Amino acid sequence: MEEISADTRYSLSLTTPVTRDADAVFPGENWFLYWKTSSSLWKTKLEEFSKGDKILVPVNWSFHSDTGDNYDFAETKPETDLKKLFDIACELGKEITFLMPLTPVPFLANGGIPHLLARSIALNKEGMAYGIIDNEENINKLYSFYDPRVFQAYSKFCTKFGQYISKSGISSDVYGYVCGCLENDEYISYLDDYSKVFEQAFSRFLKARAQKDSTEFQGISSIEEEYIVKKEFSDTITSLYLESLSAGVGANWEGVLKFSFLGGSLEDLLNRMSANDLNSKYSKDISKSISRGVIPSSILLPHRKKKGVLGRQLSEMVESTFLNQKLSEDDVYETESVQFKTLNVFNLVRIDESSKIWNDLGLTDSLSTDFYSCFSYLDKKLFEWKEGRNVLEQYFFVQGGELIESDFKTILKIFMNGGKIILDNSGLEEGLVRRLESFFLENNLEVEKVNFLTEVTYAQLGEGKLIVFNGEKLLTRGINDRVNFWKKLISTFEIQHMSIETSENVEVFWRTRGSSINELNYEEVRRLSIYNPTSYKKKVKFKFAKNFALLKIIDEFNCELSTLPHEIQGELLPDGSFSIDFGVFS
Amino acid sequence: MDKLIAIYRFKNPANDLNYSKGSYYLLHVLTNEGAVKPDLLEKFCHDYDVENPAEEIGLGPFESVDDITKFCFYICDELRLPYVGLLSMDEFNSIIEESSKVSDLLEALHSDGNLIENISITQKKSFFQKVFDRK
Repeated sequence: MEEISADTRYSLSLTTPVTRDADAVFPGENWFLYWKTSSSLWKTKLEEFSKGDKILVPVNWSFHSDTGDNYDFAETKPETDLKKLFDIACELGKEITFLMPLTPVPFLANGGIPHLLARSIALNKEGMAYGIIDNEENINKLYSFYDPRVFQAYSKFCTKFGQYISKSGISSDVYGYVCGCLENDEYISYLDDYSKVFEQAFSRFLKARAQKDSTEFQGISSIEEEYIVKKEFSDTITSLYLESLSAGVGANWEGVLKFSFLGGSLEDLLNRMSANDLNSKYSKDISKSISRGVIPSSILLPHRKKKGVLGRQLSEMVESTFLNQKLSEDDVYETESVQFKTLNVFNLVRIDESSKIWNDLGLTDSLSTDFYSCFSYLDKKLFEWKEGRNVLEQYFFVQGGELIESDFKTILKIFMNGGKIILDNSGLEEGLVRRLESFFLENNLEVEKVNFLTEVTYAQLGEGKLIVFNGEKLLTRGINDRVNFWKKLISTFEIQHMSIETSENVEVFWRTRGSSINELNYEEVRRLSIYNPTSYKKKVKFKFAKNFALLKIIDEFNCELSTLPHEIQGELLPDGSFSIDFGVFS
Repeated sequence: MDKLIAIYRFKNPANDLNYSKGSYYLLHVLTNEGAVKPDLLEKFCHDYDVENPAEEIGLGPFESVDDITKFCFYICDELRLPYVGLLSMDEFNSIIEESSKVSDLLEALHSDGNLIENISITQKKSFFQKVFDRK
């Protein structure tokens, strides 16, 4: 049968043609909101996704269960027929992935929970109600997930959903998704709640703990201890939701994805209500989210906001790079593919999201200047050695005070496999200090010591490098010294990279991929994308680094570039962007 | 209406050693142009000698709502705004709970709370007004 072009398809449609960008069912980044359109239009809508796109379908709990104790999966409303959706996707050769919420959802009324359960509004750290403006200027209130009735209903819904997908033969992956936003550069989950409901649940937790463990647990005696126990409690609740979901969906369970919703913070609410939100802020939030391992989502932003450079950023940085990367994290075939991935050289291991130690030590400032978009935070729970992992070009920054035995083994494994470890020994346990010393002796490693702003010890084993420094002492230095310390140290690594000179608020994004058959002269291909989300003209200039060959300049929008020998300079007009591919060789 | 909206919270002083300094904290300051930029707010705090303690949420402490009002008047003078609307955090939360659209929220923010006129701006006369008003 002859293929019908998108334009012809619209002309045959009985409904008013709506461009994909303005259609509520496509809120961006390959999300598909099935309840926003008639199920009879699903096929037409799904056809609009490009081949190879992984389509994200968030399951709308309150749409399938309006009271919390009745369920509709294709029984009453035809739009609840997820089997039909799955079959259409299979027929069209598209892959759909279901997302089940693990937290309140900011783009749904009542945070996605059935209306009868929406009783206790959740409060943020300041004690202010979570009110989030969606792309249609509705204010969605988020309700507490610490309400036992919400958990019971959620648990039952997960079981019903699991039974439905298993019975109807839906084989799509199911991910649990955590919703949150960036608040003061920190990722905050919407599960975080400081309401009375949380406090009540917490006091029940304390009582239960005291009864269970009356000898060891004597109650809370300090604010610090309260913080730790509250964190433990909220982790317990998170894991309860997670267990309910993973047990409910059984074999379809794939894992957890974290999303950061642009425009979803309190600061955004205050600015968005008077239409004073800036694209340059969202633009920065995309990079910050990626560096925190969180997928940015623009679902809360109206389409008009995403027309220009922000839309291109979302498409290039999120849709075609980071999202795919996250969805195929455990896919062994993906590691050697020629698809672009984010260029991540530096991994800053941290114990939790609120930890600002690398910032205090001046490392993030230093990396932001010379290696913008090339570093990311790594949750300490994920800091582990995986057999077969290539760590040759990877740098891991680790805090000694947070280390336990297994982390120490990970450090040694990475080092012995050619990775680079930069370890802050302040607070390092005495036993581990001795183990490190004996490791140097046993392996007959030549250890160099230098005193530059702090004590630094350097050891090398093949390609592997292990640098131990004292962070406590470094913290006593001024911020400029701290930043310079890292600049000096990192310059000794001789990393293949290019420094970019840009004006403020211009966003830089680096990607990398393996070379294809036609590019065998190069070991890898790096793509540099530069975006100007401001309404001012911005300058950009960079010299080609050694071992970087210019391949092509692509996707030029509103920019004037001039290519000189080994140098590119030019101007980015408002809303301008461009990308450049470089071949990198030894 | 040009107006400065300030949202404050009251911290329960029980067990707080800093109680003598007050228990009111200013959380957010808004104008028609959105939230007042942090660097500008920092400047106002510096000029008016208001603390921004790292361990606390909000600016302060202030001894009373009156003190917050005075600080807001100072900001109003600087930004040439004629009115101050003061909202406690609970009042703001009720507004959020009751608003389903942005327009509802804006309307409630302008009509609810404690509205105070900044006479130094509203009754300030221009040079020509002064000339023509002179009898």
